Amino acid sequence: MEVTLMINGDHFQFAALPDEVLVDTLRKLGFKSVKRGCETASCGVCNILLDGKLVPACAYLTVRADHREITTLEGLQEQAREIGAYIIAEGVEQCGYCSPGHMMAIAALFKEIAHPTLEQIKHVLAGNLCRCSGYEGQHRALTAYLSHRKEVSP
Amino acid sequence: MRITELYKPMDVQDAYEKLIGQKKATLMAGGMFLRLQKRTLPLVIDLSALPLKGIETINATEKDQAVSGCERLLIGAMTSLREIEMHPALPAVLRESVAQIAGVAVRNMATIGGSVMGRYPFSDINTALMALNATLHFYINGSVPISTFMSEGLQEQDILIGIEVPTLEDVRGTYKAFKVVYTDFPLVNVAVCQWPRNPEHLTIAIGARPGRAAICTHAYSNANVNVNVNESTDLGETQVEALLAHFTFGDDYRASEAYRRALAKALISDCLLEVEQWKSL
Amino acid sequence: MTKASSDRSPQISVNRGIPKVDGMGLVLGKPAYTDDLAPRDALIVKVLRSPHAHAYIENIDTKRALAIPEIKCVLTYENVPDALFSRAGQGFPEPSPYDARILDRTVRHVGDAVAVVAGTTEKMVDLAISKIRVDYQVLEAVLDFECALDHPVRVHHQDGTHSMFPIGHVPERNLAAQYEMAIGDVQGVLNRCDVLYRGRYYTQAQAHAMTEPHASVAFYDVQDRLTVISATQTPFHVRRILAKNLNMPLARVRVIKPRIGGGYGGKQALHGEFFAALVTTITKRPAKLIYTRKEVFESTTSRHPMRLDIAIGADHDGHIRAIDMNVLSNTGAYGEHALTVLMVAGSKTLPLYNKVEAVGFRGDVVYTHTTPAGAFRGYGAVQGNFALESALDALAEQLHMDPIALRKLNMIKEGETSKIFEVMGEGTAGTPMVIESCKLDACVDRVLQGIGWAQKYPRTIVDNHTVRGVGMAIAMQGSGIPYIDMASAVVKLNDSGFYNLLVGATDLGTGSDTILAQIAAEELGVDVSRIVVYSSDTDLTPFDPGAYASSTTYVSGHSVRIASARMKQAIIHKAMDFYQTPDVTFDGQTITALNQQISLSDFSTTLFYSHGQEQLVTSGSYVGTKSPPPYMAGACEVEIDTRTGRIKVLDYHAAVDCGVTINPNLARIQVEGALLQGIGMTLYEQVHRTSRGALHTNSFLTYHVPTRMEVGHMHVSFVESYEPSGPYGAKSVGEIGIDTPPAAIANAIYNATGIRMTKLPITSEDLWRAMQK
Repeated sequence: MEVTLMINGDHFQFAALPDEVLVDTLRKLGFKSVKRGCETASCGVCNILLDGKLVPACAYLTVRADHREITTLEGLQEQAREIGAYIIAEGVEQCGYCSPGHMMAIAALFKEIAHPTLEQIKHVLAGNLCRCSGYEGQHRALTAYLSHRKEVSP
Repeated sequence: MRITELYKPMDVQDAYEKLIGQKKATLMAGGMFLRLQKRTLPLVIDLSALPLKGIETINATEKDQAVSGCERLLIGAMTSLREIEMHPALPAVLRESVAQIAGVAVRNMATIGGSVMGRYPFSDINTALMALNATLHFYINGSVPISTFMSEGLQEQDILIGIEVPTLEDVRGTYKAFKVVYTDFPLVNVAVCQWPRNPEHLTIAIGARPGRAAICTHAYSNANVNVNVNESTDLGETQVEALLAHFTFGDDYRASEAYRRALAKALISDCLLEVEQWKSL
Repeated sequence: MTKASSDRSPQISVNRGIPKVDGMGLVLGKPAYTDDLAPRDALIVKVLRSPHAHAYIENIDTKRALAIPEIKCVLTYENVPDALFSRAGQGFPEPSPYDARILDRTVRHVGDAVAVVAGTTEKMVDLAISKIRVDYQVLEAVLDFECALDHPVRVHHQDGTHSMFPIGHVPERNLAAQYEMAIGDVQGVLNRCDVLYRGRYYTQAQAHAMTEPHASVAFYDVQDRLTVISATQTPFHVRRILAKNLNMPLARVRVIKPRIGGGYGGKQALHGEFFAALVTTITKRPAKLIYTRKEVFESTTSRHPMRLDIAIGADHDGHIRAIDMNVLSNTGAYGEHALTVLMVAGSKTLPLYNKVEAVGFRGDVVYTHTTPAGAFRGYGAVQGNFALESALDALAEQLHMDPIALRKLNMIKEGETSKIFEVMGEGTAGTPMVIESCKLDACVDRVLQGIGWAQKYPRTIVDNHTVRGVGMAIAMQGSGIPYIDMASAVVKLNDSGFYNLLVGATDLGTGSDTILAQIAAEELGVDVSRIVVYSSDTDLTPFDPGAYASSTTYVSGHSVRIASARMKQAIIHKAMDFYQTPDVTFDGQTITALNQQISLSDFSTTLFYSHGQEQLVTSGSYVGTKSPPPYMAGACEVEIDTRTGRIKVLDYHAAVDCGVTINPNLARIQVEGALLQGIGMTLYEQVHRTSRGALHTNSFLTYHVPTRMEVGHMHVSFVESYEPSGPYGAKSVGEIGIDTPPAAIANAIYNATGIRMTKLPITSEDLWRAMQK
C-alpha cells in the first residue's frame, strides 16, 4: 500500500505491507533513535510522537500513519540537548537505550502541561522502563530541569 | 500478527458491510491486543477513520432518568483511554480505572471500544463501566446494557458505536485495583458507585476475579453501618462479607481464589470508606 | 613525591562527577548500538526453538524452507561444526563445563535452538521457520532442581561433556559442578555452641531484563576477515571461542563491542554470535541476529536459583563461633558459570564474619531442563547474602541480642583478614589478603541514622491494618579476580597534545570509558577533554577480560594508570633527548628543559612533522594480586498492609565503601540501579513455569520489573576509604549494590510482622498466607 509520512518535517513516500509497523519503517529510513525492546509495547523504548501524541512505534501500523506527522528524537535535538544537559550532569544515562523513549515521553508531556510537577512527570514516565539507573537519578535530573524551566519561562 | 489485507472504511455502514461480507474479517480499533496474536488475519478492518471519537451529551432514556438524571454522556467507541483519563467531564471512577493501564503511549492507542468488545476478564475499564450501569450503542443491535453484553456477548457481528455513561453530577464512584507493579494487569479490581438521587443504593462491580467483571447492586441503610469516619476501623466487616458472597472467585497462576477474595475484601472496604466520606460532605 | 602522597594531593579529574564522554550522544539518540551499525544488506537471521523441555530430534526437514527464494541459508545440527564448548565469557581455560554445541541433536530446554534460518526479509524468514518440520522424540524432563541430583533422566547423557580441569563435573549424576571446603572443625564447633540457628532459603531465576535484546552482526571486511559486532560484555572471549569452534585462525576474526543497552551479566556469554557468524561464513554475506524479548527470557540466561541451608552458632555473649553453608544451585540446561557462581555465594559473604573458629561451605550445581543460568550481577553473593544476613537476625533473636550489636561484634574490620580469601577463589584456590580498607562500621552507622533506626526499630503501627518495620543487612563483593584476569591499555600522543586511550575494557553503560579517561587524565596531568577513549575492539584495543567480576575500575583502571605514567616518562625522556639535557620537568601541560619552555601541544606537533620525529605510544598491563572488597550497609523501612500482604519499600538507605570514587555520580547511579534490581528480585520478579517447563513469565506483561512508582526513596551515599592497592585508592563498585535488599527487606518484614520469609520473591500473597497461620 502506498504510504506518505511526514517525519520531522520531511516527506517520505514508499510502499508498505499492511502489517509493517512504524518502528521498522522508521529504522529503515534511518531514524535509529527509535528502538525495539519488546513485542508487547511494554518497555517504552520505541516511543514517538504521532500528531504530537505519544505512541509506541512497535505497535503502530505504518499504513495507519499515512499522511500523519511523526516526530522522532532526531527532530527534537535542541530540546533533547537542553534537557539532556541535566541528565548527563547526574550521570544518569547509563546504557542510554531507554533515553530516546524517555525524551519523547517528556516532550509529549510538555506539550500538554508547560510546568508539570515531578509527580505528574513520574506518572507519565511510568510506562518507560529503565533497568540501569534505578530511576532515582532521573528524578533528580528532572527536578533540576523543572526549576530551571520555571526560571526561564514562568 | 500478520495481516494479508487492510481496509480502511470512512463510515460505519461501509465498515459493517465489509465485516459481514467476508468470513474471518477482524475489526481493529486500537489494535493493542490484536498485536499479540500469532495468527495471520486475512482481512483487517481499520476503524480509525470512522467518526467515533469524542464525547457528547445526549438525553437519557426514561428508565435511566429515574436513576441518574436527564442527561448522559455518549463516549465514542474510538476514544482513546488517555483521552478518557484526562477528560474533565467524565465521572472520576471511569478516569481512575484507566490511569494505570500500561503507559501513556499505550493509552493513546488503546480505545474504550476495543476494551469493551474484547470482554477481557482483566479489564480495568469494564469493571468501572459495569458499576456505572453503562449502556452500549451498537450499529445493528442498538442499545444493550453492558451487563448483558458482558455475560452473553453478541449473537451476530456488529460494530460498537459508543458507550453511554452518567454525567459527573449524577454519580459518585471510586475505582481500586490490586496490581503487583504500577502498570500491571490487575489481580482483582473493584468499582463502587453511589447514586445521589438514591444515596442508599450502591453498585459494586468486581473484575479480574479472574473472571470478567460482575456486578451487584446493594441497598444498605445507615443504620447497619456503625462507623465514625475519623477512626480508621474496618468498615462493617459483616457487610463486606455479605457483599462478597454475591461474587465468585477463582485460582490462576497469578493468585489463588482465597487471596483474590481477601484482596477484594480490602479493596471494597477502602471503597466503602470513601463512600462514607462522601456522605458526610 | 611518593606515590601515596601524589595520590592524595588535590585532584583534577579523579573523584569528580563529570558527565560521561558519550552522555550527550546517547541522550541525543545517536546510532551507536549493534542493530544501528548493521550493514543495510545484512541477512536477517532467526532461530527455530524447541517447544519441548527435553527431546531428541529424530528428523529435521528443511526442504520447504530452503525452497523459498529469499532464504539463503538453513543450519541444523547436521551442517554445523560439532565442537563442544562452554558459552561462558570467561578466561581460558574456563572453569565451566564444555557442554554446549552450536546446534545439538538433543534439545534441553524450552527455547533451546533447533535450526537457524537466514534470508533477505524478516517476513520470509518467519515463513521459512514455520515450514521447517521437526520430528521430536519427546523425553521426560527434569524440571525440579531439588530432584535433579541422581535423577534417572540425565540432562547430558554420554554426549562428551567434560570440564577443562576438575570442577566436580559428573554429568551422570546431573552434576555440572561441585565444591566443598572447610576451615576448622565445623560440626564440632557448631555442636558446642550455646545457641544454634538453622534455616533454609530459596532464591529464584531472576531475569536481567536489560532494555536492549541481544544482538549480533557478522560480515567479511575488506581484508576478508570475519568481523563480528555484538552486544557483548566480553569481546575478547567471544573472539577466542568463535574462532576456535568455527575452526578459523584467531587472526582472521575481529570482534567489536559497540554501545550496549544493558547487560548486568546477561551478555557475559555467547548468544547469537555463533549463528550470525556461521551464516556469514557460509553465505559470504553480512548477517544480523536480533533476539526477540521472548528469546531473551527463554533462551539466554538468568540467575542461578539456589536453595541455601545455613547453620550459624554462637556463644551466649554473641560471639559467632561457626557458620556452615550448604548450597544447591540450579544451572539449567547448560553449565555456564556453574562453579564460579556457586563459590561466590560463599566466598563473597562468609568473610564478613571472619572471627569464627570454623566455617564450612559446600555446594552442588545441578542440571535441569530449564533456561540456562549464567552470570548476573552479584553472581552468587546476593543469594548467599539473603541466607546469611537473614540468619544473622534470626540468631540475634535467639540470643536476645540486638542485631546491630551482633553484627558489630562479629563483622570484619580494617586490618583483619579471613582464611576464606586464601581458600576460595573463583573456580580455583584463592589469594590471602589483608583488608586494607574497610569502613563497614561507618556504613552501618550512617544507614541506621538515615533510616531513623532508633525511633523505628523494630516496628511502627500505623493503623489496624498497616504496620511498618525496619531491617538491615551488610554486604561485600570483590574487585576483579587476582592472578587470573589481566587488563591492559595503550596511550598514544597526538599532535596538538591530546591523547588516544585505547582500552579493551567494556563499557556496558556503566561509564567505564569515562572513568578510565579520568584516571588517565589525572596521571597525565591534563583535563579529561584531552583524552579520547576507544574501547572493546579486538583489533584496535589491547586485551581486557571484559566487564565482570567488578574488575573495570580496579584492574583496568590500574593498567590505564601504568600506561599513562609510562607516557609521562616517555615524554620526559624524549624531551631530554630532544633538548640534549637531563634537566627536564613536565607537569602535564608544559615541558621545561633547562631554560626553555614548550607546551605539550607544540612539542607533540613538532614530533609529528618537524624534528626528532617519533610517535610516542605506551602500554600498560595489570594483573591483580588481591581483590579488595567494597563493603556496604543497607537499611530499609517497609510498610505492610496486613489485609493484602502488600509490601512497599518506603525508604532505602545505602552506604557504600568502594575506596575513592573515581566518578561519584556514576558510582552513585551504579548503586541505585543495582539496589532497584535487588528490590525487584526481593519483591516483584516472580518466575512461573508451566508443568511442561515452559516460561509463563516470558514477556514484560508477565515478568514484573519494578517501575519508578514501586519504591519511595533510595538514599545512596559513600563512606570514603582509601585502598592502597587500587588506582588512586579506588575499589570497584559495579555489583555490590544488589546484595543487601533481599535480607534487609526480609528482616524488615520480620520486624514488622514477626514472620520470617525465606523464599524469593516475597510476594504479597506469600506474606498474606503466612499471616493467616
